[in-house]
Amino acid sequence: MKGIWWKGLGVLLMLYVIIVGFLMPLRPGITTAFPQNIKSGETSVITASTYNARLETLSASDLRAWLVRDTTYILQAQSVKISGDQSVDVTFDVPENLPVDEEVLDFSLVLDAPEMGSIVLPYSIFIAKKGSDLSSGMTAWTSDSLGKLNKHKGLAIPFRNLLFETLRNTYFHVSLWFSMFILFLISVIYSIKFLRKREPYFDNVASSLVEVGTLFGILGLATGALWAKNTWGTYWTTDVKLNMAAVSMMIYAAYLVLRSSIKDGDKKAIISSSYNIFAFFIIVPLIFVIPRLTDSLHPGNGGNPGFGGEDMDNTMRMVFYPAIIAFTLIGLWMSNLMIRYKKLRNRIDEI
Amino acid sequence: MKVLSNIWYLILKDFNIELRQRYILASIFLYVISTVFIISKILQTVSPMLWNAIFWILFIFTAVSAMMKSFSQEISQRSLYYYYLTGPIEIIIAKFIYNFFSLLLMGLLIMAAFIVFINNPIENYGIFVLGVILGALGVSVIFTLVSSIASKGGNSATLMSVLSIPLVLPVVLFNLRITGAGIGILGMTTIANDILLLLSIITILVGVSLILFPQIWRT
Repeated sequence: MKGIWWKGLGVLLMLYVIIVGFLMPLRPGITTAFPQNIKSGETSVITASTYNARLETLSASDLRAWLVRDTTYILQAQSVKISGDQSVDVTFDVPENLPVDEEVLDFSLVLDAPEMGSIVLPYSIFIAKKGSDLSSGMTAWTSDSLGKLNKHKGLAIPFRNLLFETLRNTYFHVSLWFSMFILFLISVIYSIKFLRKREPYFDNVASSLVEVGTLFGILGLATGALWAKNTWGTYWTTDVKLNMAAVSMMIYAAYLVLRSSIKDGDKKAIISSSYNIFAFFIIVPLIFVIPRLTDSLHPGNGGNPGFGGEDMDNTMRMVFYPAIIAFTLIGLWMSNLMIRYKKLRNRIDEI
Repeated sequence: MKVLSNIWYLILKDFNIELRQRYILASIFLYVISTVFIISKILQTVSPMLWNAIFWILFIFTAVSAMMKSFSQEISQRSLYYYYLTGPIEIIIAKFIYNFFSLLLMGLLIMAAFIVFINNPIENYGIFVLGVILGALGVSVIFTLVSSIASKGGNSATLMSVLSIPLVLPVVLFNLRITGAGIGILGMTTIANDILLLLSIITILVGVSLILFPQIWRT
Protein backbone atom coordinates (compact mmCIF):
# COMPACT_ATOMS: atom_id res chain seq x y z
CA MET A 1 0.00 0.00 0.00
CA LYS A 2 2.95 2.27 0.58
CA GLY A 3 3.51 4.70 -2.25
CA ILE A 4 0.14 4.07 -3.86
CA TRP A 5 -1.80 6.99 -2.40
CA TRP A 6 -0.33 9.60 -4.73
CA LYS A 7 -1.03 7.50 -7.80
CA GLY A 8 -4.63 7.18 -6.64
CA LEU A 9 -4.76 10.91 -5.97
CA GLY A 10 -3.46 11.58 -9.49
CA VAL A 11 -6.13 9.38 -11.08
CA LEU A 12 -8.92 10.83 -8.92
CA LEU A 13 -7.88 14.39 -9.71
CA MET A 14 -7.67 13.53 -13.42
CA LEU A 15 -11.20 12.08 -13.30
CA TYR A 16 -12.36 15.22 -11.46
CA VAL A 17 -10.74 17.42 -14.10
CA ILE A 18 -12.30 15.51 -17.00
CA ILE A 19 -15.78 15.32 -15.45
CA VAL A 20 -16.02 18.81 -14.00
CA GLY A 21 -13.99 20.38 -16.78
CA PHE A 22 -16.30 19.08 -19.49
CA LEU A 23 -19.62 19.27 -17.64
CA MET A 24 -19.41 22.73 -16.11
CA PRO A 25 -21.47 24.92 -18.46
CA LEU A 26 -20.32 28.04 -20.18
CA ARG A 27 -21.83 31.29 -18.95
CA PRO A 28 -24.44 32.86 -21.27
CA GLY A 29 -23.14 35.13 -23.99
CA ILE A 30 -23.97 36.84 -27.26
CA THR A 31 -22.38 35.24 -30.31
CA THR A 32 -23.52 37.56 -33.12
CA ALA A 33 -25.60 40.67 -33.63
CA PHE A 34 -27.26 41.56 -36.93
CA PRO A 35 -27.32 44.04 -38.61
CA GLN A 36 -23.98 45.41 -37.53
CA ASN A 37 -24.34 48.74 -39.27
CA ILE A 38 -27.23 51.04 -38.38
CA LYS A 39 -27.90 54.72 -38.99
CA SER A 40 -28.57 57.39 -36.43
CA GLY A 41 -31.99 59.01 -36.44
CA GLU A 42 -33.73 55.73 -37.34
CA THR A 43 -35.44 52.98 -35.42
CA SER A 44 -33.50 49.75 -35.93
CA VAL A 45 -34.15 46.18 -34.88
CA ILE A 46 -31.02 44.22 -33.99
CA THR A 47 -31.24 40.45 -33.81
CA ALA A 48 -28.80 39.10 -31.24
CA SER A 49 -27.97 35.38 -31.14
CA THR A 50 -27.28 34.19 -27.64
CA TYR A 51 -25.50 31.13 -26.30
CA ASN A 52 -26.53 29.13 -23.19
CA ALA A 53 -28.90 31.94 -22.27
CA ARG A 54 -31.91 29.68 -21.44
CA LEU A 55 -34.28 32.25 -22.85
CA GLU A 56 -37.30 29.95 -22.38
CA THR A 57 -37.09 30.50 -18.62
CA LEU A 58 -37.22 34.27 -19.02
CA SER A 59 -40.10 36.57 -19.81
CA ALA A 60 -39.60 39.49 -22.15
CA SER A 61 -40.23 41.99 -19.36
CA ASP A 62 -37.16 40.69 -17.45
CA LEU A 63 -34.86 41.44 -20.35
CA ARG A 64 -33.20 44.81 -20.68
CA ALA A 65 -30.76 45.90 -23.38
CA TRP A 66 -28.41 48.80 -24.09
CA LEU A 67 -25.91 50.13 -26.56
CA VAL A 68 -22.86 51.20 -24.60
CA ARG A 69 -19.62 53.01 -25.39
CA ASP A 70 -16.91 53.53 -22.73
CA THR A 71 -19.63 53.18 -20.02
CA THR A 72 -20.38 56.90 -20.44
CA TYR A 73 -22.56 56.91 -23.57
CA ILE A 74 -25.56 54.69 -23.01
CA LEU A 75 -28.78 54.13 -24.98
CA GLN A 76 -31.49 51.91 -23.54
CA ALA A 77 -33.52 49.75 -25.93
CA GLN A 78 -37.07 50.69 -26.81
CA SER A 79 -38.24 47.10 -26.47
CA VAL A 80 -36.76 43.61 -26.20
CA LYS A 81 -38.51 40.60 -27.71
CA ILE A 82 -37.57 36.93 -27.48
CA SER A 83 -37.73 35.72 -31.06
CA GLY A 84 -36.39 32.18 -30.86
CA ASP A 85 -34.68 29.57 -28.72
CA GLN A 86 -31.42 31.49 -28.76
CA SER A 87 -32.22 34.82 -30.33
CA VAL A 88 -33.50 38.17 -29.13
CA ASP A 89 -34.86 41.11 -31.15
CA VAL A 90 -33.84 44.43 -29.68
CA THR A 91 -35.39 47.65 -30.95
CA PHE A 92 -33.36 50.83 -30.61
CA ASP A 93 -34.61 54.33 -31.28
CA VAL A 94 -31.26 55.82 -32.22
CA PRO A 95 -30.97 59.60 -31.68
CA GLU A 96 -30.14 61.86 -34.55
CA ASN A 97 -26.80 63.06 -33.23
CA LEU A 98 -23.77 61.17 -32.03
CA PRO A 99 -21.86 62.26 -28.90
CA VAL A 100 -18.42 62.11 -30.55
CA ASP A 101 -17.39 63.81 -33.79
CA GLU A 102 -16.72 60.71 -35.93
CA GLU A 103 -18.30 59.43 -39.12
CA VAL A 104 -18.91 55.99 -37.58
CA LEU A 105 -18.88 55.02 -33.92
CA ASP A 106 -18.72 51.49 -32.48
CA PHE A 107 -20.88 50.40 -29.57
CA SER A 108 -21.14 47.30 -27.43
CA LEU A 109 -24.43 45.48 -27.10
CA VAL A 110 -25.41 44.62 -23.51
CA LEU A 111 -28.26 42.33 -22.47
CA ASP A 112 -29.33 41.81 -18.89
CA ALA A 113 -31.84 39.61 -17.07
CA PRO A 114 -32.11 38.14 -13.58
CA GLU A 115 -30.56 34.63 -13.26
CA MET A 116 -28.84 35.04 -16.65
CA GLY A 117 -26.79 38.03 -15.54
CA SER A 118 -25.51 40.68 -17.93
CA ILE A 119 -23.91 39.63 -21.21
CA VAL A 120 -21.93 41.77 -23.64
CA LEU A 121 -20.89 41.65 -27.27
CA PRO A 122 -18.07 44.20 -27.42
CA TYR A 123 -17.57 46.64 -30.34
CA SER A 124 -20.32 44.98 -32.34
CA ILE A 125 -22.70 47.70 -33.51
CA PHE A 126 -21.53 50.51 -35.77
CA ILE A 127 -23.65 53.64 -35.99
CA ALA A 128 -23.21 56.04 -38.90
CA LYS A 129 -23.42 59.79 -38.27
CA LYS A 130 -26.36 61.82 -39.49
CA GLY A 131 -26.65 65.10 -37.59
CA SER A 132 -23.60 67.02 -36.45
CA ASP A 133 -24.93 68.66 -33.30
CA LEU A 134 -22.52 67.35 -30.65
CA SER A 135 -24.18 68.90 -27.60
CA SER A 136 -27.62 67.48 -28.35
CA GLY A 137 -25.92 64.13 -29.09
CA MET A 138 -24.25 64.36 -25.73
CA THR A 139 -27.52 64.86 -23.88
CA ALA A 140 -29.30 62.15 -25.88
CA TRP A 141 -26.59 59.57 -25.21
CA THR A 142 -25.99 60.33 -21.52
CA SER A 143 -29.60 60.48 -20.27
CA ASP A 144 -30.00 56.69 -19.92
CA SER A 145 -28.20 54.64 -17.32
CA LEU A 146 -27.44 50.95 -16.92
CA GLY A 147 -29.12 50.82 -13.50
CA LYS A 148 -28.47 47.75 -11.40
CA LEU A 149 -26.97 44.90 -13.45
CA ASN A 150 -27.63 41.28 -12.52
CA LYS A 151 -24.98 38.64 -11.82
CA HIS A 152 -25.12 35.18 -13.29
CA LYS A 153 -26.33 32.56 -10.81
CA GLY A 154 -24.79 29.10 -10.70
CA LEU A 155 -21.34 27.67 -11.41
CA ALA A 156 -20.14 28.37 -14.92
CA ILE A 157 -16.93 29.25 -16.72
CA PRO A 158 -16.55 32.58 -18.54
CA PHE A 159 -17.97 33.10 -21.99
CA ARG A 160 -15.27 34.49 -24.27
CA ASN A 161 -15.79 35.41 -27.88
CA LEU A 162 -13.78 33.29 -30.36
CA LEU A 163 -12.86 30.83 -27.60
CA PHE A 164 -16.39 29.66 -26.68
CA GLU A 165 -16.29 26.03 -25.54
CA THR A 166 -12.58 25.64 -26.41
CA LEU A 167 -11.84 27.60 -23.24
CA ARG A 168 -11.86 24.18 -21.53
CA ASN A 169 -8.64 23.36 -23.35
CA THR A 170 -6.92 25.57 -20.76
CA TYR A 171 -7.19 22.65 -18.33
CA PHE A 172 -5.28 20.37 -20.68
CA HIS A 173 -3.01 22.47 -22.90
CA VAL A 174 -1.69 24.80 -20.20
CA SER A 175 -1.46 22.14 -17.48
CA LEU A 176 0.45 19.79 -19.81
CA TRP A 177 3.12 22.47 -20.34
CA PHE A 178 3.23 23.25 -16.62
CA SER A 179 3.72 19.63 -15.64
CA MET A 180 6.24 19.10 -18.47
CA PHE A 181 8.32 21.86 -16.99
CA ILE A 182 8.02 20.41 -13.49
CA LEU A 183 9.15 17.01 -14.80
CA PHE A 184 12.14 18.56 -16.62
CA LEU A 185 13.10 20.47 -13.48
CA ILE A 186 13.07 17.31 -11.34
CA SER A 187 15.04 15.54 -14.08
CA VAL A 188 17.73 18.25 -13.99
CA ILE A 189 17.95 17.88 -10.20
CA TYR A 190 18.49 14.13 -10.63
CA SER A 191 21.10 14.74 -13.36
CA ILE A 192 23.03 16.97 -10.95
CA LYS A 193 22.65 14.34 -8.23
CA PHE A 194 24.01 11.73 -10.64
CA LEU A 195 27.07 13.80 -11.55
CA ARG A 196 27.85 14.23 -7.85
CA LYS A 197 27.19 10.71 -6.59
CA ARG A 198 27.70 8.60 -9.76
CA GLU A 199 24.80 6.37 -8.78
CA PRO A 200 23.32 4.81 -11.99
CA TYR A 201 19.86 4.90 -10.42
CA PHE A 202 19.82 8.74 -10.56
CA ASP A 203 20.55 8.74 -14.29
CA ASN A 204 17.79 6.19 -14.77
CA VAL A 205 15.35 8.55 -12.99
CA ALA A 206 16.53 11.61 -14.95
CA SER A 207 16.22 9.94 -18.36
CA SER A 208 12.78 8.49 -17.57
CA LEU A 209 11.54 11.91 -16.49
CA VAL A 210 12.86 13.46 -19.72
CA GLU A 211 11.09 10.80 -21.79
CA VAL A 212 7.73 11.41 -20.09
CA GLY A 213 8.30 15.19 -20.16
CA THR A 214 8.95 15.06 -23.90
CA LEU A 215 5.74 13.07 -24.38
CA PHE A 216 3.84 15.75 -22.41
CA GLY A 217 5.47 18.44 -24.52
CA ILE A 218 4.36 16.73 -27.73
CA LEU A 219 0.83 16.40 -26.29
CA GLY A 220 1.02 20.09 -25.36
CA LEU A 221 1.92 20.93 -28.97
CA ALA A 222 -0.94 18.74 -30.24
CA THR A 223 -3.58 20.26 -27.94
CA GLY A 224 -2.24 23.69 -28.84
CA ALA A 225 -2.50 22.90 -32.55
CA LEU A 226 -6.14 21.81 -32.15
CA TRP A 227 -6.87 24.95 -30.19
CA ALA A 228 -5.19 27.09 -32.83
CA LYS A 229 -7.30 25.40 -35.54
CA ASN A 230 -10.47 26.41 -33.70
CA THR A 231 -9.51 29.95 -32.78
CA TRP A 232 -6.85 31.17 -35.24
CA GLY A 233 -8.09 29.00 -38.12
CA THR A 234 -4.91 27.04 -38.71
CA TYR A 235 -3.04 24.22 -36.97
CA TRP A 236 0.33 25.92 -37.11
CA THR A 237 1.53 29.45 -37.69
CA THR A 238 5.02 30.91 -37.74
CA ASP A 239 4.48 32.36 -34.29
CA VAL A 240 7.50 32.74 -31.97
CA LYS A 241 6.00 30.90 -29.03
CA LEU A 242 5.01 27.95 -31.22
CA ASN A 243 8.40 27.76 -32.91
CA MET A 244 10.31 28.05 -29.63
CA ALA A 245 8.17 25.27 -28.14
CA ALA A 246 8.89 23.08 -31.18
CA VAL A 247 12.61 23.83 -30.94
CA SER A 248 12.66 22.88 -27.26
CA MET A 249 11.05 19.57 -28.19
CA MET A 250 13.80 19.13 -30.83
CA ILE A 251 16.42 19.71 -28.14
CA TYR A 252 14.95 16.94 -26.01
CA ALA A 253 14.56 14.68 -29.04
CA ALA A 254 18.30 15.25 -29.59
CA TYR A 255 18.81 14.12 -25.98
CA LEU A 256 17.14 10.81 -26.83
CA VAL A 257 19.26 10.48 -29.99
CA LEU A 258 22.39 11.19 -27.94
CA ARG A 259 21.49 8.50 -25.41
CA SER A 260 20.96 5.88 -28.07
CA SER A 261 24.21 6.78 -29.86
CA ILE A 262 26.46 5.90 -26.91
CA LYS A 263 26.81 2.21 -26.12
CA ASP A 264 28.92 2.26 -22.96
CA GLY A 265 26.55 2.61 -19.98
CA ASP A 266 28.66 4.74 -17.66
CA LYS A 267 29.76 7.12 -20.40
CA LYS A 268 26.18 7.37 -21.68
CA ALA A 269 24.97 8.38 -18.22
CA ILE A 270 27.62 11.08 -17.72
CA ILE A 271 27.31 12.59 -21.20
CA SER A 272 23.52 12.63 -21.25
CA SER A 273 23.30 14.10 -17.74
CA SER A 274 25.60 16.93 -18.78
CA TYR A 275 23.57 17.55 -21.92
CA ASN A 276 20.33 17.49 -19.93
CA ILE A 277 21.58 20.22 -17.57
CA PHE A 278 22.94 22.31 -20.45
CA ALA A 279 19.70 21.94 -22.42
CA PHE A 280 17.55 23.04 -19.49
CA PHE A 281 19.44 26.31 -19.21
CA ILE A 282 18.76 26.98 -22.89
CA ILE A 283 15.07 26.02 -22.69
CA VAL A 284 14.36 28.70 -20.06
CA PRO A 285 15.20 31.69 -22.32
CA LEU A 286 13.67 29.89 -25.31
CA ILE A 287 10.22 29.48 -23.77
CA PHE A 288 10.05 32.27 -21.21
CA VAL A 289 12.22 35.15 -22.46
CA ILE A 290 12.25 35.33 -26.27
CA PRO A 291 8.48 35.03 -26.92
CA ARG A 292 7.89 37.99 -24.58
CA LEU A 293 10.21 40.22 -26.63
CA THR A 294 8.56 39.90 -30.04
CA ASP A 295 5.02 40.04 -31.37
CA SER A 296 3.06 36.92 -30.75
CA LEU A 297 -0.50 35.70 -31.13
CA HIS A 298 -0.12 33.41 -28.16
CA PRO A 299 -1.64 34.67 -24.90
CA GLY A 300 0.92 35.85 -22.35
CA ASN A 301 3.49 37.01 -24.92
CA GLY A 302 4.47 40.05 -26.94
CA GLY A 303 2.03 42.45 -25.35
CA ASN A 304 -0.85 39.96 -25.29
CA PRO A 305 -2.24 39.49 -21.82
CA GLY A 306 -2.01 36.01 -20.38
CA PHE A 307 -5.03 34.24 -19.04
CA GLY A 308 -6.01 36.27 -16.07
CA GLY A 309 -8.77 38.60 -14.98
CA GLU A 310 -11.92 37.73 -16.84
CA ASP A 311 -10.44 34.81 -18.75
CA MET A 312 -9.31 32.84 -15.74
CA ASP A 313 -11.76 33.31 -12.91
CA ASN A 314 -12.21 31.35 -9.73
CA THR A 315 -14.52 28.74 -11.26
CA MET A 316 -11.79 27.89 -13.78
CA ARG A 317 -9.08 27.83 -11.13
CA MET A 318 -11.15 25.20 -9.32
CA VAL A 319 -10.33 22.86 -12.21
CA PHE A 320 -7.09 24.34 -13.53
CA TYR A 321 -4.94 23.90 -10.39
CA PRO A 322 -6.08 20.30 -9.78
CA ALA A 323 -5.35 19.64 -13.48
CA ILE A 324 -1.70 20.70 -13.04
CA ILE A 325 -1.34 18.48 -9.98
CA ALA A 326 -3.09 15.58 -11.74
CA PHE A 327 -0.87 15.74 -14.83
CA THR A 328 2.27 16.04 -12.70
CA LEU A 329 1.33 13.06 -10.54
CA ILE A 330 0.41 10.93 -13.55
CA GLY A 331 3.66 11.97 -15.23
CA LEU A 332 5.60 10.91 -12.14
CA TRP A 333 3.75 7.60 -12.14
CA MET A 334 4.56 7.05 -15.82
CA SER A 335 8.22 7.78 -15.24
CA ASN A 336 8.14 5.52 -12.19
CA LEU A 337 7.01 2.69 -14.49
CA MET A 338 9.78 3.58 -16.96
CA ILE A 339 12.37 3.46 -14.15
CA ARG A 340 11.20 0.00 -13.07
CA TYR A 341 11.12 -1.22 -16.66
CA LYS A 342 14.70 -0.06 -17.22
CA LYS A 343 15.83 -1.67 -13.97
CA LEU A 344 14.38 -5.01 -15.07
CA ARG A 345 15.84 -4.54 -18.56
CA ASN A 346 19.29 -4.03 -17.02
CA ARG A 347 18.91 -7.15 -14.93
CA ILE A 348 17.98 -9.18 -18.02
CA ASP A 349 20.97 -7.74 -19.89
CA GLU A 350 23.25 -8.78 -17.05
CA ILE A 351 22.00 -12.36 -17.27
CA MET B 1 49.87 32.68 -13.21
CA LYS B 2 50.46 29.03 -13.95
CA VAL B 3 46.83 28.71 -15.09
CA LEU B 4 47.11 31.67 -17.45
CA SER B 5 50.31 30.42 -19.04
CA ASN B 6 48.79 26.96 -19.39
CA ILE B 7 45.80 28.46 -21.17
CA TRP B 8 48.13 30.47 -23.41
CA TYR B 9 50.12 27.36 -24.37
CA LEU B 10 46.95 25.40 -25.07
CA ILE B 11 45.75 28.17 -27.38
CA LEU B 12 49.16 28.21 -29.10
CA LYS B 13 48.96 24.44 -29.45
CA ASP B 14 45.56 24.66 -31.17
CA PHE B 15 46.88 27.41 -33.41
CA ASN B 16 49.87 25.29 -34.38
CA ILE B 17 47.68 22.32 -35.20
CA GLU B 18 45.53 24.64 -37.29
CA LEU B 19 48.59 25.91 -39.18
CA ARG B 20 49.88 22.40 -39.77
CA GLN B 21 46.52 21.36 -41.24
CA ARG B 22 46.18 24.30 -43.56
CA TYR B 23 43.78 22.44 -45.83
CA ILE B 24 41.04 22.76 -43.17
CA LEU B 25 41.38 26.55 -43.11
CA ALA B 26 41.46 26.67 -46.87
CA SER B 27 38.43 24.45 -47.18
CA ILE B 28 36.40 26.62 -44.78
CA PHE B 29 37.44 29.70 -46.72
CA LEU B 30 36.38 28.07 -50.00
CA TYR B 31 33.14 26.84 -48.42
CA VAL B 32 32.20 30.38 -47.42
CA ILE B 33 33.15 31.99 -50.72
CA SER B 34 31.44 29.40 -52.91
CA THR B 35 28.26 29.40 -50.80
CA VAL B 36 28.04 33.18 -50.90
CA PHE B 37 28.60 33.06 -54.64
CA ILE B 38 25.79 30.52 -55.07
CA ILE B 39 23.46 32.64 -52.92
CA SER B 40 24.19 35.74 -54.97
CA LYS B 41 23.63 33.87 -58.24
CA ILE B 42 20.36 32.25 -57.10
CA LEU B 43 18.73 35.21 -55.38
CA GLN B 44 19.94 38.02 -57.70
CA THR B 45 18.48 40.81 -55.53
CA VAL B 46 18.64 40.38 -51.76
CA SER B 47 16.53 42.54 -49.44
CA PRO B 48 18.18 43.64 -46.15
CA MET B 49 15.88 41.34 -44.17
CA LEU B 50 16.90 38.33 -46.27
CA TRP B 51 20.56 39.43 -46.16
CA ASN B 52 20.46 39.34 -42.37
CA ALA B 53 18.76 35.95 -42.25
CA ILE B 54 21.09 34.30 -44.77
CA PHE B 55 24.10 35.78 -43.01
CA TRP B 56 23.24 33.95 -39.79
CA ILE B 57 22.21 30.71 -41.52
CA LEU B 58 25.57 30.57 -43.27
CA PHE B 59 27.28 31.52 -40.00
CA ILE B 60 25.69 28.60 -38.13
CA PHE B 61 26.44 26.03 -40.81
CA THR B 62 30.01 27.14 -41.28
CA ALA B 63 30.44 27.11 -37.52
CA VAL B 64 29.11 23.54 -37.33
CA SER B 65 31.63 22.31 -39.86
CA ALA B 66 34.47 24.33 -38.32
CA MET B 67 33.75 23.31 -34.73
CA MET B 68 33.25 19.64 -35.53
CA LYS B 69 36.96 19.01 -35.26
CA SER B 70 37.35 21.00 -32.03
CA PHE B 71 37.47 17.92 -29.83
CA SER B 72 37.34 14.99 -32.23
CA GLN B 73 40.76 15.95 -33.63
CA GLU B 74 42.33 15.16 -30.27
CA ILE B 75 43.55 11.60 -30.19
CA SER B 76 42.64 9.90 -26.94
CA GLN B 77 46.24 9.28 -25.86
CA ARG B 78 47.03 12.92 -26.41
CA SER B 79 44.05 14.05 -24.30
CA LEU B 80 45.26 11.76 -21.55
CA TYR B 81 48.59 13.59 -21.77
CA TYR B 82 46.88 17.00 -21.43
CA TYR B 83 44.94 15.62 -18.53
CA TYR B 84 48.17 14.99 -16.67
CA LEU B 85 49.68 18.35 -17.60
CA THR B 86 46.73 20.67 -16.97
CA GLY B 87 43.21 20.71 -15.58
CA PRO B 88 39.96 20.44 -17.56
CA ILE B 89 38.99 24.03 -16.68
CA GLU B 90 42.10 25.34 -18.41
CA ILE B 91 41.43 23.16 -21.45
CA ILE B 92 37.86 24.38 -21.87
CA ILE B 93 38.82 28.03 -21.35
CA ALA B 94 41.54 27.70 -23.96
CA LYS B 95 39.04 26.09 -26.34
CA PHE B 96 36.51 28.88 -25.68
CA ILE B 97 39.05 31.57 -26.48
CA TYR B 98 40.45 29.81 -29.53
CA ASN B 99 36.99 28.98 -30.91
CA PHE B 100 35.78 32.50 -30.22
CA PHE B 101 38.57 34.06 -32.26
CA SER B 102 38.24 31.57 -35.11
CA LEU B 103 34.47 32.08 -35.27
CA LEU B 104 34.94 35.85 -35.12
CA LEU B 105 37.35 35.72 -38.06
CA MET B 106 34.94 33.45 -39.88
CA GLY B 107 32.05 35.85 -39.22
CA LEU B 108 34.04 38.79 -40.52
CA LEU B 109 35.02 36.74 -43.57
CA ILE B 110 31.36 35.94 -44.27
CA MET B 111 30.49 39.61 -43.79
CA ALA B 112 33.19 40.69 -46.26
CA ALA B 113 32.11 38.06 -48.78
CA PHE B 114 28.48 39.20 -48.46
CA ILE B 115 29.47 42.83 -49.04
CA VAL B 116 31.61 41.98 -52.07
CA PHE B 117 29.40 39.43 -53.79
CA ILE B 118 25.85 40.35 -52.75
CA ASN B 119 25.38 43.94 -51.57
CA ASN B 120 26.03 46.18 -48.62
CA PRO B 121 22.94 47.13 -46.59
CA ILE B 122 24.94 47.84 -43.40
CA GLU B 123 24.15 51.29 -42.00
CA ASN B 124 25.87 51.16 -38.64
CA TYR B 125 29.10 49.14 -38.76
CA GLY B 126 29.69 49.46 -35.01
CA ILE B 127 26.42 47.78 -34.08
CA PHE B 128 26.73 45.16 -36.82
CA VAL B 129 30.25 44.13 -35.83
CA LEU B 130 29.17 44.11 -32.19
CA GLY B 131 26.42 41.68 -33.23
CA VAL B 132 28.98 39.47 -34.99
CA ILE B 133 31.30 39.55 -31.96
CA LEU B 134 28.48 38.60 -29.58
CA GLY B 135 27.33 35.93 -32.05
CA ALA B 136 30.81 34.43 -32.20
CA LEU B 137 30.93 34.51 -28.39
CA GLY B 138 27.57 32.80 -27.86
CA VAL B 139 27.93 30.26 -30.65
CA SER B 140 31.50 29.35 -29.62
CA VAL B 141 30.41 28.73 -26.00
CA ILE B 142 27.59 26.41 -27.04
CA PHE B 143 29.52 24.64 -29.81
CA THR B 144 32.56 24.02 -27.62
CA LEU B 145 30.59 22.10 -25.04
CA VAL B 146 28.41 20.34 -27.61
CA SER B 147 31.40 19.25 -29.66
CA SER B 148 32.99 17.82 -26.52
CA ILE B 149 29.75 15.89 -25.93
CA ALA B 150 29.40 14.82 -29.56
CA SER B 151 33.00 13.60 -29.74
CA LYS B 152 32.13 11.03 -27.06
CA GLY B 153 29.17 9.71 -29.07
CA GLY B 154 29.45 7.29 -31.93
CA ASN B 155 28.66 9.15 -35.13
CA SER B 156 29.97 12.55 -34.09
CA ALA B 157 29.40 14.47 -37.35
CA THR B 158 25.63 13.90 -37.45
CA LEU B 159 25.35 14.07 -33.69
CA MET B 160 27.06 17.46 -33.67
CA SER B 161 24.52 19.08 -36.00
CA VAL B 162 21.54 17.39 -34.34
CA LEU B 163 22.65 18.53 -30.89
CA SER B 164 23.94 22.00 -31.64
CA ILE B 165 21.56 23.61 -34.14
CA PRO B 166 18.48 23.67 -31.87
CA LEU B 167 20.61 24.67 -28.89
CA VAL B 168 22.16 27.62 -30.68
CA LEU B 169 18.81 29.12 -31.66
CA PRO B 170 18.14 31.45 -28.68
CA VAL B 171 21.57 33.05 -29.06
CA VAL B 172 21.20 33.47 -32.82
CA LEU B 173 17.73 35.02 -32.46
CA PHE B 174 19.19 37.74 -30.26
CA ASN B 175 22.02 38.28 -32.72
CA LEU B 176 19.52 38.52 -35.55
CA ARG B 177 17.92 41.43 -33.70
CA ILE B 178 21.23 43.16 -32.98
CA THR B 179 22.59 42.90 -36.54
CA GLY B 180 19.10 43.79 -37.77
CA ALA B 181 19.47 47.08 -35.92
CA GLY B 182 22.90 47.49 -37.52
CA ILE B 183 21.35 47.03 -40.97
CA GLY B 184 18.52 49.40 -40.17
CA ILE B 185 15.56 47.02 -40.44
CA LEU B 186 14.96 47.16 -36.68
CA GLY B 187 14.94 50.16 -34.38
CA MET B 188 17.67 50.95 -31.89
CA THR B 189 15.29 51.25 -28.95
CA THR B 190 15.51 47.69 -27.66
CA ILE B 191 19.14 47.03 -28.53
CA ALA B 192 20.65 47.71 -25.07
CA ASN B 193 18.09 45.36 -23.56
CA ASP B 194 18.86 42.67 -26.18
CA ILE B 195 22.60 42.88 -25.58
CA LEU B 196 22.13 42.66 -21.82
CA LEU B 197 19.86 39.62 -22.11
CA LEU B 198 22.23 37.92 -24.56
CA LEU B 199 25.21 38.56 -22.29
CA SER B 200 23.34 37.14 -19.31
CA ILE B 201 22.39 34.00 -21.27
CA ILE B 202 26.03 33.60 -22.38
CA THR B 203 27.28 34.08 -18.81
CA ILE B 204 24.93 31.37 -17.54
CA LEU B 205 26.04 29.02 -20.33
CA VAL B 206 29.73 29.65 -19.63
CA GLY B 207 29.12 28.91 -15.95
CA VAL B 208 27.23 25.71 -16.74
CA SER B 209 29.93 24.60 -19.22
CA LEU B 210 32.70 25.20 -16.68
CA ILE B 211 30.89 22.98 -14.19
CA LEU B 212 29.94 20.27 -16.70
CA PHE B 213 33.11 19.99 -18.77
CA PRO B 214 35.29 18.36 -16.08
CA GLN B 215 32.64 15.60 -15.79
CA ILE B 216 32.58 14.99 -19.55
CA TRP B 217 36.37 15.16 -19.84
CA ARG B 218 36.88 12.46 -17.25
CA THR B 219 35.02 9.80 -19.29
